[in-house]
Amino acid sequence: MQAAKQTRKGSFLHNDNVVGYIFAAPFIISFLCLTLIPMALSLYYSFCNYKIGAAPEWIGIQNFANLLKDGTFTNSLLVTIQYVAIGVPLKLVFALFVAMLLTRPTRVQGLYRAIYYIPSLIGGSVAVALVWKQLFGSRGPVVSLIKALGATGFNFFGSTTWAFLPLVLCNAWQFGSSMLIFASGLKQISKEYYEAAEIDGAGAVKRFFSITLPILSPIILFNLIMQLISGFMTFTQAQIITDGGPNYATNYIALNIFKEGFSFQHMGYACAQSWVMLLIMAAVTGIIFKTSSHWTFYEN
Amino acid sequence: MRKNLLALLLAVAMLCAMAVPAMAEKAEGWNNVNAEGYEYPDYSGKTLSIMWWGSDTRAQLTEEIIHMWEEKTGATVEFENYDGGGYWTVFQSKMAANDLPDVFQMGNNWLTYYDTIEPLNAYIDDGTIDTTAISEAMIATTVNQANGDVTGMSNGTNARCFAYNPAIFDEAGVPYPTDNWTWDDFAAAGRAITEATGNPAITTLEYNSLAFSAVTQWKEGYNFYAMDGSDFAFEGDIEPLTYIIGLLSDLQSEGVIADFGVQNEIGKNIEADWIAFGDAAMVMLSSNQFQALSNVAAESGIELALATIPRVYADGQSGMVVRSSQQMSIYSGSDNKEMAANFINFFVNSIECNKVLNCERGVSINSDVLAALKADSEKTNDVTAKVYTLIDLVGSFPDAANSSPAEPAANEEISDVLLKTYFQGMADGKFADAQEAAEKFWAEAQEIWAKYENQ
Repeated sequence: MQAAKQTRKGSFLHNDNVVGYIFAAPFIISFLCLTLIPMALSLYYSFCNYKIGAAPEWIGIQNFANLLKDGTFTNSLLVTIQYVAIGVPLKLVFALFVAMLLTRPTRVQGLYRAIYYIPSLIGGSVAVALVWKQLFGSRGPVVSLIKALGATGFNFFGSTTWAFLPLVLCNAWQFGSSMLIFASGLKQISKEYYEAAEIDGAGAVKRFFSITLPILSPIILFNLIMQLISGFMTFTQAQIITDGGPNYATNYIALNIFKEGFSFQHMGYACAQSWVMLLIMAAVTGIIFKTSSHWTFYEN
Repeated sequence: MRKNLLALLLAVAMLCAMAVPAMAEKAEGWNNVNAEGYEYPDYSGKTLSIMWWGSDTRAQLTEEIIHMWEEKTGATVEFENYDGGGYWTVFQSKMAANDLPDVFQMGNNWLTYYDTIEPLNAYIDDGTIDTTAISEAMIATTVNQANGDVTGMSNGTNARCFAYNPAIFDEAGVPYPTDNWTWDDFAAAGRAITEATGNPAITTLEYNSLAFSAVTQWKEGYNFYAMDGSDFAFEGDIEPLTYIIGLLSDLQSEGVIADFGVQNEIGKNIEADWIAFGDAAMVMLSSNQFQALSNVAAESGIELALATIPRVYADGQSGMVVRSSQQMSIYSGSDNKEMAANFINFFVNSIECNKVLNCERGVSINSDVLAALKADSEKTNDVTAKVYTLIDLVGSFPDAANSSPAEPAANEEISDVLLKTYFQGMADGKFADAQEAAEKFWAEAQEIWAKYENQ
């Protein structure tokens, strides 16, 4: 009896599934506690009049109805779309360009890759934003250069038209992770294709558009979606550098949500905004997935 | 023998019984930490938690006095500090988790966090927080006018004001600001200086506060918010708002006031203001920031002076107020309220403690402390003396007591909208004129107010 129990216990622990669950437990627990439960709560709060520290009061779809009338929210959606539409392609083009430069085998290739990856390591940190603020500030080198060219009184962060540009450039500068993914994709492309094309007389541009881009397209899809999602969630730079200004020109949606929730105490309303943002991101991602069959190419 | 023992016991019991009422009615000032031979309570083995916001300088000074208090009482103090922006995010997370520290720094926005605050009335009444050297007016800076609750003890008073560089005024041939200078004087000085130097004369401004001041200045009895923070108090008269929006927008479009990009760059970091490097002539600030600004300016050999907020009418209301810069409050859910009250008592009243803090958070509300600091030439130099003079001056303005100490919960959003939608919108050409901006602002301010009423 005792022996049988032990074997059962032993077989339980030796079961592959059980071992798998045990190893996955830290993730499963943290996913439940830090992602799923907060998301469910935020969905509930989005239908409530809720202020941190007070009891939520159910108000149905009132928050969502108010969103339709909220000019600040509509504006932040528009400026976020502007940021994503300009920033993401710029970053991907730049990442691909550098990745292609770095695929040429040189001795210090590894070093170069590491150097170009560093900006991504420090990510959306406050320190980078502060450096950028200095760099593009009214007395920074970039503005001094523009002023030397004759544009007196120009100031990025004082202009509703140009304030977004340093933020987009800051994002594009952190191209490292996309670059690494592109670089590994480029390595997979068989040299034979290029050799054959070269024999047929295809130039570098033709080779790029006819071989590199099509074969790389699944990787481009992956990078595009990852960057779109992170683009929609941009926060730190806008908060540190411009505080959403001037006149809401860089009041991106994540920043707007933060302000509504934490500065103005409308946590329920902020939750409603974040759910609308989630739906928009899901829709954009969905559309890209749906259309991807037309422009991605899988070798096999 | 037994009888004797019984008699002795009875006598002791009687003495004790007599002593109890005597102990309950403690003498006024019994907890005066400055009194000779004062014995600090023994909190060995106990832990107090504290949280505040502010600069690195403030953090160093506060840590120093925390260690001082730990040594005196045997308590252990756990403390956290954040910058001004991050503080409220952390505060709200802790509030949601019922995990606030025993003592926390609170601003004039205490109405927003009212449920987390323990009224200090009982501790003041029983003398645990000694107020014998603090005037009623100073205590009033942190009192909820609606119900008399003392929401905290002020860490010091300040006033919004202007710092200016007299050397640049001389260069441009402009007279210095007087105690009752007007917006016209302000505009004329700014224009003359900008013309002479080619730089914006004025860098950062607190737009919401200037607009609220203009309302108070406009007519006796007007205030943007009522004293108890329960409503607006200017009958929706948008003339003062039109006036100030128009004036400041004009000055900015002429380049007299720096654009919003520059203002945002400098942000809350007063030490980075152009005035400290001789590139601007005026900046608006809170008087307790003057020391830090002057320290940086001194490195460039610049000596700054303080001026009042300009008025609408030279003989009219000042629109200024001596307010609590920030306060120490006790968490309503704290298990260590008595210990927290004793810490606040030390923090606000101890001369030894305040010689370290030296009014970095504002001019001390305790007259003994202030007298001791003023008498100490190491602690009071030309710069701090200017701050003391300004606070005394503002305190002497008859209307300085009529402005609300409480910021209503809606204030944060109303102020944000006033700056970003209306002042910045004017700069961006979104409104035909200042009147349109003022009308739309007033309508939106009422809408925002209604949202908080329903919350």
